[in-house]
Amino acid sequence: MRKIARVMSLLIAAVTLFTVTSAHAQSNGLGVSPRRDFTVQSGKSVSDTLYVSNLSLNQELQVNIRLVDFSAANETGTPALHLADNAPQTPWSLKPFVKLQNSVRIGAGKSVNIPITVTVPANQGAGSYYSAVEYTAQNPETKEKVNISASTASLLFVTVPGEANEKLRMKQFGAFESDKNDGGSFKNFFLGGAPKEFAYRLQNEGSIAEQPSGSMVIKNMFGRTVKEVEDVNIKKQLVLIGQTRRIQACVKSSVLTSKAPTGQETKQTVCDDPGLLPGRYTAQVALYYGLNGNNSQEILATASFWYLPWWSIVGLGIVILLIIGLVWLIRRAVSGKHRRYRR
Amino acid sequence: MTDSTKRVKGRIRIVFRTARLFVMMSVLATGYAMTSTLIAHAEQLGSRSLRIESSVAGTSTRHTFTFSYGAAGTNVGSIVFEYCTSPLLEIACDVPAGLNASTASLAEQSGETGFFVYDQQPNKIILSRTAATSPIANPSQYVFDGVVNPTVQDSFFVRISTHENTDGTGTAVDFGAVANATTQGVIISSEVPPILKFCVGLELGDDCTAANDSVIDLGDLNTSRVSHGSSQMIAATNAEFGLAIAVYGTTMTSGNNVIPALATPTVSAPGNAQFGLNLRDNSNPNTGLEPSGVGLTNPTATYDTPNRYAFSSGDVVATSPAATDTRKLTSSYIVNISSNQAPGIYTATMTYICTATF
Repeated sequence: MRKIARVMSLLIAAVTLFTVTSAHAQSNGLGVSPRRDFTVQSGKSVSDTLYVSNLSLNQELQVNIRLVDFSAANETGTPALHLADNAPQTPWSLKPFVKLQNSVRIGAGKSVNIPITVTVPANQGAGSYYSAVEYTAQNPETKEKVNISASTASLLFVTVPGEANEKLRMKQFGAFESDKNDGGSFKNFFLGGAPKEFAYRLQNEGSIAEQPSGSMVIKNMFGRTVKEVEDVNIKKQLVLIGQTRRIQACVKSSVLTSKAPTGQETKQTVCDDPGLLPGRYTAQVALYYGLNGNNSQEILATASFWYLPWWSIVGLGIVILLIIGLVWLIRRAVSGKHRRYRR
Repeated sequence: MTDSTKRVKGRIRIVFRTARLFVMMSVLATGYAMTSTLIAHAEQLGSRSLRIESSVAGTSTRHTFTFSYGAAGTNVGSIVFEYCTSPLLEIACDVPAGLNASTASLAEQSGETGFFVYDQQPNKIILSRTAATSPIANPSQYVFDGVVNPTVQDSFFVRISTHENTDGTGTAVDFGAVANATTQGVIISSEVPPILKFCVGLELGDDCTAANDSVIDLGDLNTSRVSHGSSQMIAATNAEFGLAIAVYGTTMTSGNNVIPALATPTVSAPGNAQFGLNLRDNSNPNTGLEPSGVGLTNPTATYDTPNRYAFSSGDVVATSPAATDTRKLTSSYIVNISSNQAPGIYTATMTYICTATF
């Protein structure tokens, strides 16, 4: 009897027993405005709305709304949300300036526009202020399970115009080879294909989130421009305050269209082979940034690279061998003539 | 004439011809270099700015240019303002779409004054004055009314050059570019606003219309076999920046007892305490699916290896580098326990947060 009781108690206490129950189902699908940009003068306010939709056609969506700060997660444009309740407020936080409701209920398949007001105090200095509005689908709390929930966020950027500290520093510029996971490396020697893209790393040491724009040219070893890239920040990427941002630009690009069996179509910009001849090249980039009315700040940078595909090295080797052979033949012929002349 | 004399004369002729060719090529090269660097050798205009009264795309507004003349002691008879899509002189000037400065008027000038509109084209205004004099007033400001902003929401540049000639021709004395951008005005009703769509669920169709379930069953935990389960998520956006999906939450806990999360991608090893996830089709254990759909969203490196699992709260699990159509990703969770795992009811909460990138 004791044994049975022990086994039973062990079974009951068995490490984590999960069962599936269909608790009160709630929608877990949201559609939101991904990003909003406002320009607000000190002492003024702006009112607008944020769009939120319930993507589920058969369940209501209960959304919790809150403002969270964010910074850059890395050198790309991925935001790192500061979700902890006790997370310290960032110097660029919008929290003191924004009024927003903290929850909303949306019927199945419906959408709402949530009012938002941004008020900038009169004594607020010029600069960029940003936070994210986080929308979390509220699901029933269940124990003994792994609970999942969907959450999205709208990134809010507010620019307070005026004299501000605007400073981007070029940390690196050059030919770039990217990998499939948003990474890659700078290179100045290419043996395979010619470099398809260039990248530059900018450090923001000012108080404004900057969106640099500019152009790039590639010149061959004779100083002739062989490639032009009119827009080196085609996606209008931002460099957040304090961030070191890597921005990439294709030397030559095309749009690739993929189609799924369902007929679904998607377009993707891909970097193409720029069609360079072997040799040494120099790339020059000119970047500009600055708030409307403030001085246009300029960054100029130059980088060189060699493009020597294997076939050019083999070809060069063959040419050198031919020249050596030719010289040897000529010398042999000349010395033969001399010998005959002496005789 | 002996043969050797003939040979010497022939060689001398060749040397002369080569030298003549070299001189001609040098002259041509120098000429080319001089013409191509007419502006490159100009002094820089200092402290340049362009203030647009209204930056709304397509609106007719006031453009105010401020700068300081660079070259001291050189006369300036004209100033050229040329609106282009690139600031670089090496790149031919393309007119920003919709920009029109052909009817703009010079409303104000200060600093170095005496200028009038000499010539204007859709993207170019040439200011001139009766006689070229050396600029002494810095900074100088020139205000144009009635410039129609580019109609596309984008950056544009104005190449500013000063010239000794009064008609905007000849070598530039000073050069500098300024940048600005137009912003979106009133949203046109036919325009599709940017939207970010995201949902999670246990099993999703091709879209988010049935995204309801939120509880994953991992079955009984056992020291001799792995417990596993999966959930799915769909993300899409028409915003050009792309998107990122991060996972936030805790590993499985029961009071103070914890099943430790795998910090790095690791294979499932029953008998060892492990909690992790990935976004691929796995064979050990047999769980998960490959990402599907034509969208561009793909798992990040840490969560992109079949049969290797990891979890760290705040990790970005998937990204799309640009606007993306719907793409379904399947998260697979594994749990293993060791023989000394404290009994209890273990729970984990995973919140997947999808944001636009910037």
